[in-house]
Amino acid sequence: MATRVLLVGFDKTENENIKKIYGAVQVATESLASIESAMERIPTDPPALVLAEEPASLDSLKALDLCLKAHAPSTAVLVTLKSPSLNRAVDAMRLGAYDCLKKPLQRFDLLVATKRATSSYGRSIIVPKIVLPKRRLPQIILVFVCLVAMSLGIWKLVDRSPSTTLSLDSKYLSGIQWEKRSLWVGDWFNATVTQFRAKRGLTKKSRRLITEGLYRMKEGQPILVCHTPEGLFTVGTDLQLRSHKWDVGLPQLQTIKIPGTNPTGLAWDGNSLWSVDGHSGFLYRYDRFLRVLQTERSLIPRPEGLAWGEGSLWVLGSRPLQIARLEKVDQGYVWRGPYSLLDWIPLEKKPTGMAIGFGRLWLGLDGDSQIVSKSLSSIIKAKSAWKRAEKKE
Amino acid sequence: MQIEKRKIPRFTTSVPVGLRFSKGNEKEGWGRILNLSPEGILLETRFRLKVAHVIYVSFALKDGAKFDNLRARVIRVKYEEGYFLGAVAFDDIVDKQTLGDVISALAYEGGIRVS
Repeated sequence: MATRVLLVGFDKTENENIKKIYGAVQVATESLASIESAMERIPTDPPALVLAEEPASLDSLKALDLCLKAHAPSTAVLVTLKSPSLNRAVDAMRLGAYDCLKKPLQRFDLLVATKRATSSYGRSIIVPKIVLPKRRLPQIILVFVCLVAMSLGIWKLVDRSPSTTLSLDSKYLSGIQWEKRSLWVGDWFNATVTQFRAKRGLTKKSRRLITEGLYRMKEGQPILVCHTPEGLFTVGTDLQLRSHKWDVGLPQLQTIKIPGTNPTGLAWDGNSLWSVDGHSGFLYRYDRFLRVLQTERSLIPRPEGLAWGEGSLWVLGSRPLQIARLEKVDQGYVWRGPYSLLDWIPLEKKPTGMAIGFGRLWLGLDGDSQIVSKSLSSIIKAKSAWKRAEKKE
Repeated sequence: MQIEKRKIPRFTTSVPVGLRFSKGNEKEGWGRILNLSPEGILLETRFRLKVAHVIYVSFALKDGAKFDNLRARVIRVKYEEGYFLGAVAFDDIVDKQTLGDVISALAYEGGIRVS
C-alpha cells in the first residue's frame, strides 16, 4: 500500500469527502485520528503523502517531520488550515509541510498540491493531467439573465394592451385619453367623465377594462377631456376650458374661453397642456394658469384630434385620415409625417376622439360605442415603405 | 559542459515564502522559493501571479536571516498544473545592505549554484 495517502486528524465527513476526491483518481487513502497515531503507523507502512489537519500545536508537525525524515524520507506532507493566514502557512511549511491548503478543501487544489508535493519528493501518485474545473459563474449569470429575460418577457406580455378594440358602452364619446393603463373618456351627452383601467393579465380576456370612476359634471358638457397630474381639464360644448377639482360634480377651479372656434383636441405633454383648433389649424400651449404660452401651426390642415404619446404630440386629420407628430428638438419643435390612415377607417366614419397608448393609435368614431386602435410602428413603417417605393419610381 | 553566463549566481533551495499582493482579490498567499539570488527569486505558488505586478515577499533562511516584505516585481510567470512559477526581481527599494545580507545568508545556506 505504498501509493496511498494518509489522512490525519479529519472528522468523518471530511474523511469521506477527501476519500471521494482521491478515489476519483484511483488513489487509496487511510484515515488516522491524530499525528501521534500517524507517527506509529508511518514506520511500518510509509505512505506516499500525509494530508494532515492543522494541529493545535505546531510542535506535533515538527515531530511528524522528524519521524518522516527518519522512516519515510520520500513522503511529503500537506497541511490544511482552518483559518488560513500567511504566518501560519509559512510556519507550517517551515516545519516540514510542502504546502498548506485552505479549508474547505477544493478538489482541484487538493489534487494539484498532492501531485506537486509527491513529485517533488520523487514519487508520482496522480498521473492524469489535472484540469481546472470550469467556472460555474458564467453559467449562473446565464441562468440569471435568462430568468430576468423571462420575467421581463412575461411582464411585457402581462403589461400589453387589453385589446385592439374596446367597447365603452356609450355612443357619445367625445374625448379619450390614455394615461399609462388608465383610459379617460368624456361623454358629452351625459356630461360625464369615466375613468377605466386596463387590468394586467396573460390572456386578452384577463386584460379587460374595468371602470374605476364615473364623474358627472355639474357645469358644461365635455367634448374634450385630459387628465394631468395637476388635475382634470375639460373643454365643454360652450367652448370653455376648465380645470376641475377632484370632488363630487367636478367643481371648477378655473375657466377660460378656449382660443379658436372649433377645439378638437386636448393633450398633456408631461409639462404643459396643449389644445388644437380645427378651424384655424393652430396648436396652443398653456401655462399652469391657462395662459397661452405658444402657438404652432399644425402640419395637417383642419386637425381633428390631439394626443401625447411616445415622446411626441400627435395630430389627427380626417380629410384625408392621417396623423402627424410634433417632436421637441433642442429648443424648438419639428413636424414629422404625415402618416396616412386611409385604408384603416371607412370614409363615412368621422373620428371623435384620439388617444395614444400601448404604442397604438386609438380612435373613437362618431356614433360608435367602441374605440379602435392601430399600431403606431405599422403606421410609420407604411409611410417609409411608401416613400421608398416613390423614390424607386 | 555548461558555463555560467549570469553575472550573479543563483542558488537552488526550498524555502517557504510569504507573499503579499498589491493587486487582485487575494491580499496574501504563500509559496516556496525554488532558487534565489540577490537580484531576485524564482518561486512556486498556487496563488495567481501576474507579470509586472508588485508583490512583497517575506522569507527566512536557515541561518536565521529574515527578510520581511521585500518589494519585488513579477517579471515572468509560467503556469504548471495549478501552480504558478514566477520569476520575481527585487525592486530598487531593496538597498545594498539588504542585498549584501542576502548574499552572506546564501553563503551560510550552502545552496547549490545553478549553472
